[in-house]
Amino acid sequence: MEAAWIALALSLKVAFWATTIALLIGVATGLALARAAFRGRELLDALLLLPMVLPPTVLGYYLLVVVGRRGWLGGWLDRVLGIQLVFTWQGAVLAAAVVAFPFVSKSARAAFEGVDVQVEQAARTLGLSAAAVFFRVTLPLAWRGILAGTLLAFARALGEFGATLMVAGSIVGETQTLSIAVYEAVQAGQDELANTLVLLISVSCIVVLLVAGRLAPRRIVAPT
Amino acid sequence: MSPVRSPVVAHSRLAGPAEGPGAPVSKPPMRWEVAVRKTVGEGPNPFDLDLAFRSDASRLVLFGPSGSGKSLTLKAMAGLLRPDAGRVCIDRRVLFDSASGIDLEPGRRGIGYVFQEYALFPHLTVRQNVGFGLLTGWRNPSRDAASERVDHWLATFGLGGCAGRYPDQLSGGQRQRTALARALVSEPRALLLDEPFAALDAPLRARLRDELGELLVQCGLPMLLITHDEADVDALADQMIAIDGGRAGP
Repeated sequence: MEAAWIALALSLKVAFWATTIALLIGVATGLALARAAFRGRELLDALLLLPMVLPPTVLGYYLLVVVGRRGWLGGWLDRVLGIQLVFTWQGAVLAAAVVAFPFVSKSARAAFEGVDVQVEQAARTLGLSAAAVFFRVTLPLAWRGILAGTLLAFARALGEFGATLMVAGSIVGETQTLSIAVYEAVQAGQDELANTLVLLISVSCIVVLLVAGRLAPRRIVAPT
Repeated sequence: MSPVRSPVVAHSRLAGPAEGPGAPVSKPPMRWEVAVRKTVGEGPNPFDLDLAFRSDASRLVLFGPSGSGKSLTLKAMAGLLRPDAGRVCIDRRVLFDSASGIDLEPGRRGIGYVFQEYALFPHLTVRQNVGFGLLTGWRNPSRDAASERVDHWLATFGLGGCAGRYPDQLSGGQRQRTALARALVSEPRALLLDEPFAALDAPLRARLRDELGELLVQCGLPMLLITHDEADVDALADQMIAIDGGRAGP
């Protein structure tokens, strides 16, 4: 029973950090895709969506190639900074962030494209810097869409299985998240534990959705 | 029409960068001195804006069909679009000069800009919209922030009663007055108006045209308006410059 709570706490921790990373990078790329004109923009958009369509195991394999101890980035991290991602909870965060990130970038791009450029220009003529325009006009008008994508990203990160298993493995209390624990429990024939875990993750998701409904702004567009 | 420019106002061709800052400019300074060159779009048929005019009119109207380049010109004057070359001088202040590398930020040009369809901030109340330019930091004015200057402009434009409303709760006239008040609260030296009546239906358009005319007299600011509607020219122009195909015509 306690194992279930440990798995839940770990899942929430991993999903939280993965979502945070996905949010920051997703908003930045969403903004770039919506506003900056550059060559290969649509190609970049397609590449950024890959984690949504690739099998998670393939994604996990790519990650191992990059951040594994003999990977080009992983080797550098290990040698220079002493950081290892494989078989650690941070590795699980990385895997979940990569899988969840397209949900943020896709919705952020749509949200930013929905903001009238003239409204931003109006703010510029009123003396605001580009950064101030972003925080006072663009973000307040786009955050609803970004929030929706972020919640999907969180839910996706919470349920992440394949890539996480490839990169972080299944170490109890360290990398064995709820969704992996369900698999292990069923494999080991621990039906009671599996039931508990499944119930936990279902309830967690419902709570997330309820909180989301609460967080959503009462009025961005005024009622008539 | 011949491709040769026949400017309404006496004017020479745009000074190319080769002439440099030392190029002779012997004409006396005027209220509006604009020369912009900009190529937009790619492919075989890019749009080529090459427009120059000078005027001392306090109410100047650029008149032309849509796609004639008047909107680009206005954006270039406000600093929202960077010309490939040229010079923009309003009220004897140089705002842009490609020859000497001057390019003031939009917010430092001392210009009030009224956008087509007004571009009010939909997430802010009328009061917040009007007070927007008084704060330049990263936070919007709060819903109930007190400000004498905002109150003054709300009262001047009869917006006191709807100060707490959001733009989508306003009538067309209230929107226009909010946009004007928002532009005027930072005390600009000139006002640029982009098709201010295009979004309205005909009866309202006529009424707001009169209203705008009166408000402009009240605030006494020089203004430049662009439009494709001759009625705007008749009602509001001291001087009119016709634009077509990116050039000033007769």
